[in-house]
Amino acid sequence: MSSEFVAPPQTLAPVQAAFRRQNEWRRAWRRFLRFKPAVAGLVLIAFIALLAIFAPLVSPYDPYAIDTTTRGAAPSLAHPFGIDEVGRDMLSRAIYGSRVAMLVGLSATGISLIIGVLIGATAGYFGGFVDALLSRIVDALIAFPLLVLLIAMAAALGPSLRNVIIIIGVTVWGQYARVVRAEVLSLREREFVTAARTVGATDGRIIVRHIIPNVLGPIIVLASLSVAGIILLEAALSFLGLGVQPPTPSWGSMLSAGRTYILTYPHIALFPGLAIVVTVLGFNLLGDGLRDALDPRGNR
Amino acid sequence: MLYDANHPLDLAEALRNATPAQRREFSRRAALLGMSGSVVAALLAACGGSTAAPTNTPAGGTQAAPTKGTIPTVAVNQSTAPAASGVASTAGTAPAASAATSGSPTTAAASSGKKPKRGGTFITMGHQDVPYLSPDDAGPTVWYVLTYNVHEALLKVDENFKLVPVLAESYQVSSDGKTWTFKLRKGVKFHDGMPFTSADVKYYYDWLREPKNAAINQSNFNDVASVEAPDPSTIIVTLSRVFVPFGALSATIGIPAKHVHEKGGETAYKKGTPVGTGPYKLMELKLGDHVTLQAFDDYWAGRPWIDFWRENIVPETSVRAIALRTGDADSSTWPLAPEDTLNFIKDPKFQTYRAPGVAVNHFPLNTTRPLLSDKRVRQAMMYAMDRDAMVKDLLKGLAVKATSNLSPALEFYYEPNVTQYPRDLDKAKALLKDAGWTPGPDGILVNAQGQKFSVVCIVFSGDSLRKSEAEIAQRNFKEVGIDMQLKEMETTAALNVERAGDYDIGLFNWTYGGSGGDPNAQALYKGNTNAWSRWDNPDAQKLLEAGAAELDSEKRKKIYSDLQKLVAQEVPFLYVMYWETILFFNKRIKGMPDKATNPYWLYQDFAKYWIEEA
Amino acid sequence: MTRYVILRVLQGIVVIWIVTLMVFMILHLTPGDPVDLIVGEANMTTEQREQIRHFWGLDKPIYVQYFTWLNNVLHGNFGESVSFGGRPVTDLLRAAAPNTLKLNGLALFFSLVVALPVGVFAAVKRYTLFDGTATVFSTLGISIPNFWLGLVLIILFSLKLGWLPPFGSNGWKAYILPVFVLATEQMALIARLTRATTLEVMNQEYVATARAKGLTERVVMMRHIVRNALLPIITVIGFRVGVLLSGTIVIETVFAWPGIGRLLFQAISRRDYLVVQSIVTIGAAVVILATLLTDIIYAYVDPRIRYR
Repeated sequence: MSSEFVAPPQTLAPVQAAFRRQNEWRRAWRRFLRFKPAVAGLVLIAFIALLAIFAPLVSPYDPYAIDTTTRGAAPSLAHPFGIDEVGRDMLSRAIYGSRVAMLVGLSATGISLIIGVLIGATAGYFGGFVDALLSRIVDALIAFPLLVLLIAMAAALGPSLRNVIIIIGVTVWGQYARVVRAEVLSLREREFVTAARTVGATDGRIIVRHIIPNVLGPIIVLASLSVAGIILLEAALSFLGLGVQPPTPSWGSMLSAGRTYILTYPHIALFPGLAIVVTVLGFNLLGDGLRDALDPRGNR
Repeated sequence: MLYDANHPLDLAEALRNATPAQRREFSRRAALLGMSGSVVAALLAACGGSTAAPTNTPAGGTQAAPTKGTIPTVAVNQSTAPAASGVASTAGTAPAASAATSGSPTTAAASSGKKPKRGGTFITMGHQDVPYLSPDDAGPTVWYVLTYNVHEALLKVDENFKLVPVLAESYQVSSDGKTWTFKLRKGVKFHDGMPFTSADVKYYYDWLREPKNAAINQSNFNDVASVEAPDPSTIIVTLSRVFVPFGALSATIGIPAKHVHEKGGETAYKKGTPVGTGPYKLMELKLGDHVTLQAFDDYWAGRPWIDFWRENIVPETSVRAIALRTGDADSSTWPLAPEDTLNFIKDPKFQTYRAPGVAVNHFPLNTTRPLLSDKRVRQAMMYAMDRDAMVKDLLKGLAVKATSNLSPALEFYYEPNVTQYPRDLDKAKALLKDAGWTPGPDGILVNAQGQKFSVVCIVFSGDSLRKSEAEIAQRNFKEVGIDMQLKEMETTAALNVERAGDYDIGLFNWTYGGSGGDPNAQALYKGNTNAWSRWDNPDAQKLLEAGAAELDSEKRKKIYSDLQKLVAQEVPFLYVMYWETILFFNKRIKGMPDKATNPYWLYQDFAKYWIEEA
Repeated sequence: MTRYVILRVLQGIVVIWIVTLMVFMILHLTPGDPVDLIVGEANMTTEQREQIRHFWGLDKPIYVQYFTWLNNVLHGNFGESVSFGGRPVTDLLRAAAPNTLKLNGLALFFSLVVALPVGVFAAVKRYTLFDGTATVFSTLGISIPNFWLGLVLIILFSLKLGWLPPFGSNGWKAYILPVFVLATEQMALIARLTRATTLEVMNQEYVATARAKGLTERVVMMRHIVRNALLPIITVIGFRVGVLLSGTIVIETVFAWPGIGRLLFQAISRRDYLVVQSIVTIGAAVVILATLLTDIIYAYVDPRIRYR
């Protein structure tokens, strides 16, 4: 589940090259639309996102309402996904669960992106000791078994929705830092940067105005794939009992509860598992589409 | 006061010293008493072997003769049969005597009349690693069942919570209750062939009570003033003050071999091969995978029928259920999900044992927290909880609603006539109003200072059953305006903050009296590390003191009855229910009793059982 | 080259040291104390509990505990596990490591055998039915939570069909499910990567040149495309070593596999500090070594790369 977090650098090289040219964006969008699986991915994500936003309107029942007598009831017309191990409607909980998945996936990606880009840019731009120090920290972070880091931090901070986002956000930025650093190293000596420097722009301004926009392309690709990975991570954390707290519905914790009852009430584990697969698939397809679209040589 | 009132006759001793004529006389009397003929025959046959080898115990069964497993002895045992196995492990002392007096055979084997067979492997499953087999641990049942097949104690608590002698043949308690004299069984060997003597007991008891050894079980020896071994078969324990539970809590701790344990101390003992006197010896301990025990040929009560005793480590609850169903395992030491349990109860392939457990499923309340320090609030919470739904829907009826701190499993001490808390939201609201809590605009209670009634309940992470229970309680409390948030924490961390008193509400099962069948509730003692609720009630402390020092069992019963009434009145913790202990054994295991009120004990009685494939 | 390797090794040592600090800090910031596990349900006074903490050295100041441990590690001693009753950590590792290695080795082997040809073929036959199918399956493969897949397969093959044992590590049959589940994810990853790199290589100038020289398509394919496309696989293998620990924690728990991942998870939840510290440190060292080896192998295999 942590596998997507260190994308082999060479697959991103063409994308990086492409985004030094701003006019690529529009062409990329057209290429993206031509790649059917990516469009399918986008549609899936849009669907899940709509469910998340309008959860109270589309849920047939209150996801927190308990009727203990119905514990574990199998799927039926009234309850298409069945009833969970406490006596709540699984469909409503699965719909509300999309909120947690989207929130964690997007916010954690956002946090890690900001940290990664800033640290990568700083390391690449300043070089020397700063670079050496930051690079070693990034190395240590990547060498540290990710799930261990997450488990330990979840235990330290105490599990909650906010903490899950923070924990994942502050642990998976290493990949962005690496990509951005490499990119900045090569950008640093280029004409427009030297030009900006000669007219007296500050380092911070140069990083924000000139360097970061130029590394955006590869970052977008990485980020869309990483949302998928983070949703899986959240599920794994909840599966191990360290994620979002009950009774808040989250796919991972629903699955975790379902695993105890896999013989008697298999639907409890089945549906949240499917929801995870669909959402993660959506983001992976999107990421693939973006990668192909943003790579000028993959002309279709 | 003679404590072995349950075991008036030391049959084995009598028989060993008996002349053939006396033995015939015994046989006749036993028959009159209704003892089944085969039991007597087995006893006598076994004695025949043992007279030739005084170091072996009478009921030594297959290995009782001086040369190991000589054919005649084996033959005699096999022909005389099931009862031989029945008597074998209980050594023909007390249990045989009780059989004689009660007039009914003690084991299913005796009534089924089938022949035990030698061989096979019994496989059970545990949920977590078994790192070592040492009697000085507080590990879960999963460890315990192994440790106590390898080690034996002076006494043990049997399947019906009766205290019976094991390595002791008999014991006596002085009239002032302070001196315990144990007569040790003769001819007992350790797994390495060395004899078991009083020196082993003295060494180990002294080791346990030495503070610098930091023994886990040391608190059970708090009141021990001295341990003397006047001769190789006598142990005298002197207590500094009367502590009645000494028998059930302390003398039931297994004895490792002194010559092994003293060599490297406890740490080395845990690393090495444990050496005890039990029916099985350790063959292989593969960390994280399984532990296999092998029958001990020189076991004092006769070599077990089943050759190997194995526990596989299977953390997944559902996977354990699958393994039971596929026949990959015979039993699961750690419970299954209630629904799986129900299915197995119906399954004719399995023999089921069920009895209410002694640990109460409860929400410990930190009574030092201002919100929870008011008795009326705690009573209101009891009234608010839908405990019937928890028992009926969540546990599927595999539990008994709790009435106070003691389990109905302790038939003698259990007090049913206490304050009851049926679900009653109006009463709950009234009590809360009395205590100064009125509903705020959002329905959550607010007191005069404007403080909201909001508390956090810690649930063990990955504990899906109790998580559901907490979720139900959360909804129940909300109906009376109490906001209870849930927080999952790993067990170690949860217990840590709860021990430190840094919490509002917890949720787990704990024993407040009932360990070893004794009603002494150490977790209610003030200052005990397990006094989760930090309940500071002088009356309760007085009752606890008196109960532990009371020798007369009727008076003792009265004391603990008062304690239960007090607990029900004061509600130091929200007691919910007693989960039933439910164990399954594949019916290919033969010779098991028909029922047991203390089912875990069955795992310690395997020297009696045998395997017969269907 | 030698200078480069020495530099990298020195950097690696610094990284490992940072890792030890990180793991130590995080663990000791985490609430909980291994003593609570040791005492279990035993009743005792606070003083007796303190004696037990003292016995295990848990009452010493944190920095003393850290340097004692670091010093021991430098002497090849990883200390003793509290939750395993003082068993040396090395014993635990020795028992668990082979299981994890076997599981992952087999999974990696099978995923390479399947994924490499599939990836190359999918790239060559781009936009065909084969490519489409391969893409769908490989994307699906990285989108399925592996613990969920494991549970579903257990239901199917152990419970419903009764073909395979649901748990344990005894006999070849026990390997099938966990290896399959682990391999599924890797297979998908490697196939995707191989396809991507093959496509990239196919667009390189030297491939066009080779074709222009009049080499047969077969020769171009084998000598120029496949050979170069397979280079990144070295990275993947190095990378798999890195996620070995994280990737197997959950799978080992689901399949009751007595490996490092499960040991680690247990040790964390029991606050068995020395075990966690040791596994994480060794794990980090392995990752760093694997990355270094990958880079060196690269330098030898790929003539375009030269290090200072």
